[in-house]
Amino acid sequence: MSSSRAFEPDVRGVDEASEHVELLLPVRPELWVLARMSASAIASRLDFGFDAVEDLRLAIDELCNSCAAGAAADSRLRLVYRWDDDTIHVACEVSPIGPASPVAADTLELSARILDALVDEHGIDPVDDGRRKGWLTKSRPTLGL
Amino acid sequence: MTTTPTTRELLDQKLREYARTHDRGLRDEIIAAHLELVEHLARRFVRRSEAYDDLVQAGSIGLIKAVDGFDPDLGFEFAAYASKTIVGELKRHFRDKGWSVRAPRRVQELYLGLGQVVDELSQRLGRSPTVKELAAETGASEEDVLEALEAGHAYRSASLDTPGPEGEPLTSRLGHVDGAYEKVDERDLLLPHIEKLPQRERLILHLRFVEDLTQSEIAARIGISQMHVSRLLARSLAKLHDACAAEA
Repeated sequence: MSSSRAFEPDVRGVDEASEHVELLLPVRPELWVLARMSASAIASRLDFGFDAVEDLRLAIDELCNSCAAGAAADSRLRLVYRWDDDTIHVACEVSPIGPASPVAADTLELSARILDALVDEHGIDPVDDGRRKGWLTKSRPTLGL
Repeated sequence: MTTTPTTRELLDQKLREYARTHDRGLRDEIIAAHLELVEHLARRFVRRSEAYDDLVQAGSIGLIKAVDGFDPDLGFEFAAYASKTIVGELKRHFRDKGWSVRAPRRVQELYLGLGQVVDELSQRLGRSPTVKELAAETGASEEDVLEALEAGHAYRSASLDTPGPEGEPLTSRLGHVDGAYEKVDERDLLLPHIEKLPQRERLILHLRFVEDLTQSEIAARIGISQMHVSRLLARSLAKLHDACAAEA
């Protein structure tokens, strides 16, 4: 899959030159499975425990849902996964996208509360230039939990 | 489902009264009286390797929609009307989880055995096992373990656009909901939807997002497998998103 627009993922604090994986999807929630599988495969390589992998999968759903709120039928969702020794960083962008509707605002708020509990850091930026970006980071908990 | 003329008349009376008053007690009575219909229809889909309980749950959502949407003045029989919405919901259930339904049999079998392995390893290691450890213990590849975990999650593909389910018939309420949900509760956004979740799902949400317990700790606390906790969490969150979208 390819995109005609340059994608500048927000992977705060991560070396841009580091190894990474990119995924480009139509905005269809039944395809979030691909985003979850990619994240859990990377987390598995980093020796995340079962609990952390499962939290990450839930978090990926929330990130995708948040970024996709208000997306159009022809929008695309792009994910970039980067990682270091014990942390996975996921950046997400959906475009084109319109201004947040009331339902989108509710979805964003719900997802933010859920993400608070699931990952170390996360953020969803306001729509800018027809795009919405979001990101999360999750580190391997101590004791492999 | 068979009804005698007397019970049919009684049902018609209740449906008319519910349409007029929207009384919650009446609604629950009508739903309870038709759970047999949901079970009957759910059994027709069991051959597709889907857990029966999950099908009943999905079908129940269709029943609730039928109760809320039924207009007695149009002259249709409720059971026929409800059957259509229940089957519609069962089909939607399969459509939304299409990827998992097509998981190969070996992956489905691995998933079925994995719950016990997760619990045994957690106990032995004193922590949540890694995917590598699960693969080593089961003799499967890491990829198969990851695929099996994914195959077990039925409710993650909630659509952003389609109207969402309304949850289960009301049961008893969680005594106290606060913390992470507080801000949202103040806006009356989530609480009504949380209250519609089955009691166990509400408890799991509370333990995970308010008391900040891990999935393993929740599993130990309420006496079910870690994987079951994970599946219920995913399902509850999908329902909440659906409910938010439907409300708007």
